[in-house]
Amino acid sequence: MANNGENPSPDVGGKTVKLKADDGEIFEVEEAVAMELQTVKSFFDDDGVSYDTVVPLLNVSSTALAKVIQYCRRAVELRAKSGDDEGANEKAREEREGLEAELVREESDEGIKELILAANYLNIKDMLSFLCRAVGDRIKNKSVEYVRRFFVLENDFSPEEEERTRNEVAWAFEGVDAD
Amino acid sequence: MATYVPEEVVMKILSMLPPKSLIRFKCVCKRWKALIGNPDFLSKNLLNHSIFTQNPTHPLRLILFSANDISETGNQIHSFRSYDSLRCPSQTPLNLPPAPSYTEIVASCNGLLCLWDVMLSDIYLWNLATSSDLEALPASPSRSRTGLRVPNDDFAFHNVGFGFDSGSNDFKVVTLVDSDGGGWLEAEIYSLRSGSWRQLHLSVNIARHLVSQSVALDGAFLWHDNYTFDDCVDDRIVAFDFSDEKFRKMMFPDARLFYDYDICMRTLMELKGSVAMLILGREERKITKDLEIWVMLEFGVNESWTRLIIIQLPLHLEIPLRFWKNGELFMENSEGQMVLYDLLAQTETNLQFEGYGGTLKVVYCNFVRFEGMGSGVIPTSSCSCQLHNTTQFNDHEDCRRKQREIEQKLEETQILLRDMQEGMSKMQEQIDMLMALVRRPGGSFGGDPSHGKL
Repeated sequence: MANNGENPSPDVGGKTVKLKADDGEIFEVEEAVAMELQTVKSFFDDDGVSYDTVVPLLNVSSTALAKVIQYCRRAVELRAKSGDDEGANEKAREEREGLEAELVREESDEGIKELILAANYLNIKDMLSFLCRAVGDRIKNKSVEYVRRFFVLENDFSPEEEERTRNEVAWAFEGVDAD
Repeated sequence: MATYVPEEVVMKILSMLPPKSLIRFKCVCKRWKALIGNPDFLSKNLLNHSIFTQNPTHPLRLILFSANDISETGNQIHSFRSYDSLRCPSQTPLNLPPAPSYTEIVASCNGLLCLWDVMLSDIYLWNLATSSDLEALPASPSRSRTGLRVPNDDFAFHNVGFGFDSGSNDFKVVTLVDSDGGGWLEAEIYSLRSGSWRQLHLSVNIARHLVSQSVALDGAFLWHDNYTFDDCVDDRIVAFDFSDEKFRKMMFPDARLFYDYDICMRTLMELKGSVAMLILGREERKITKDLEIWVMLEFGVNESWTRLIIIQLPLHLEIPLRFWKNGELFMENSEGQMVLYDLLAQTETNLQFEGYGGTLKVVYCNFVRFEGMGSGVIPTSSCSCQLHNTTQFNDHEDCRRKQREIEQKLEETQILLRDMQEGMSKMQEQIDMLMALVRRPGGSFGGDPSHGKL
């Protein structure tokens, strides 16, 4: 979902920022949306950096960046809708939760990890929180082996150590999803 | 190529997992074992964070202290406190209406308080939000069989439980009674939605020596044997689930673990949504006693009992009652006073509440205005009558009648007002005429007597 050369959305008054993914693809994004990414915000907070400068985001793939931008756009819109009205706030919150669920629903494990790393690198607090929660839900009933594969971790226990720990808390191994 | 996740993100993910998962994932690798840590009251690690924050309950606003009056009149004293400050709430002081005789507070959830008149075997519900009168439940089937409304020495509820079934959006009261004197208890359940009682079929045998001390969890109710225990086989916890309406039995940790104590007292309690067991153990020659706190990390799984801490308690702190916000403990001291004990700082605060020794109780109340009940017993916020907020429980017929009465009075008042206004304009006319007469050129009073009456 590249945004190359597209006109900026009318209500932001025309100010846009250019973001460059790891493969060189450039995304032109409304300023309000770009500032959701704290990393980008810090980039421009430095004196002497002009808003025309392309922000290099070397650790973020274009697929991930596209999704991040899409999420942040919607998040900014929803935040503008909420205010003092309890009812409006509630509705906005529900919509945001729907948006979050939508984002993770179709994602593979690799895809969701990529999004988490992007949200972490770009320092987007809310997005990182809900992504971590989503991963937590995915793994909480999984086996130890599944978790090792997911996080790419070596088993550095000796067989005896592992056996001992498992026996001490055998009850925690009941009812685990099959791999 | 599989992506590697940095540790700070791993920590964030792990901090959202339940205790059972974390304990299992200690086997993933040595680093994770270190990060997750061991369950105890003191350390700040992922596992303890999970134990203490896993089950967020509904926002609590009020605590109710209750006790028998020191003077042994049989009266009960109550004090509502704010959950946060433990002081009496400044707005709308709540007053529990008096009951016919001695009542015990069973539990409170979602804005309703359940009371049990132990002598007369009556059960009452009280709506904290409307602060109205006590609403008595109809007699249960077993009670009806022995004769209504007569204090019957042979009949008494053995235990009463109260809770909320979030599945069917219903408040339920469960009672245990020894109907046939055979030593085994039978159960009945009242549903507020249906307004009626039902007999429950038990899949477990519950013996008579189940004591009334109970623990209310979210959606479940627990009872246990409160005596200093021995290795009696039936020494168990009985748990009732309000959703599937089933009783289950659970075990305490092995009694042999506590044999070193000469004197031992055991209490069940709720700790952040989980079942906790407190052991107060005393060895004769020591000047302090030990408090052990155990928690059942996975509800219903006996093997998941885990000890969180052993600490020393001063001797004058006698009975643990309830946990507060961050693990502080409400306790009854040897003078029958309510005290808050901070386990970590080892400091105590007197809460200015005193009663007859052994009768102090702490009840947590959700001050949530419950909506959508259709049975008509409890006022609903869906009814547009203004009256429901100010008068006692009534059904809509009563409400409509009162509404009509008020409307009638309003009409009468309006007629009266109209009359008054007419009278006033007549007076004004007469004043005008008089003024006109006075102002007539060369005029004085006198004039034409035929000019209207004054």
